[in-house]
Amino acid sequence: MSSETFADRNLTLTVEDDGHVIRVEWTGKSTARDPGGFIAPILAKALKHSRTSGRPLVVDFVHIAYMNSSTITPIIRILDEAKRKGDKVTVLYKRSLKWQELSFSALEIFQTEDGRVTIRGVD
Amino acid sequence: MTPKLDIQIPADWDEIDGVRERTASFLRKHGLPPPGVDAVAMVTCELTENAVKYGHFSDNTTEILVQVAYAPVSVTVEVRSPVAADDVENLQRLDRMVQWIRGYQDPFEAYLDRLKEVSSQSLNSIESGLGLVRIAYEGQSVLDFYVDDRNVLAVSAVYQP
Repeated sequence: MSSETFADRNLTLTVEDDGHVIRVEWTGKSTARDPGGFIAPILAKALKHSRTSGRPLVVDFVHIAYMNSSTITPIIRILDEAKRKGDKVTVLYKRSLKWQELSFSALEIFQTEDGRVTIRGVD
Repeated sequence: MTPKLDIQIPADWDEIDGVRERTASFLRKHGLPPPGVDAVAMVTCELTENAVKYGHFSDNTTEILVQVAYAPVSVTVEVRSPVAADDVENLQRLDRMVQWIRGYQDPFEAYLDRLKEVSSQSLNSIESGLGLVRIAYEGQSVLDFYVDDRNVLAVSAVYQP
């Protein structure tokens, strides 16, 4: 089990490897002008670790309170990369929050038919 | 009488989250249900971000004006910021984006098309152009804008759940 925490302004990303999955948990608010500068390297490293370890990557947005539209770009780029390169990635969001349901269910266009890339709402 | 919230901020990125929180607080106070509060607060934030990014601020006294008007069946957000007299490029881009969104019967389709486009952009590309189409889809709002004779750009979004 390993865990690393990264923080920028009001956003915290915690990357955990429990031996079964690599989990990136988002908490707080993502409001930076160029959030990709902080987010993209963390997601890229977690995806690379997932690929080399053979453990799936879970990107967990359930506890994020707000994100601006600039935050969506690094997320969809990592999903697109996972889709193209055969990685296993699951995005989790909170279905009972309408903004999360609208924002994240739209990312289903990046899902793969074989279930490697999955967008899943949880209660 | 329509309850209104007026906020003035300098063109400072760090002021934007406060605008979102004050908008959410105002809407909650007047009884808008939580999904509407989240939607309009996001709309206000995205419009204010655009004002800071693309406004023409010649000195520290110039401010961005944000107005939120809560009517029984709709909420109107208007964000005003100065633009340069010769800033045709940004205004044309804004006009093209608003017209492009209006060209879709369902803003969800516009949003999906934009997501696909952004996923194929180069990694060095910073501007996603997702903000306005997110306002239309997730914010359930109709966009419009005008520039007055003092070169102040007013961008409005009318939330109609």
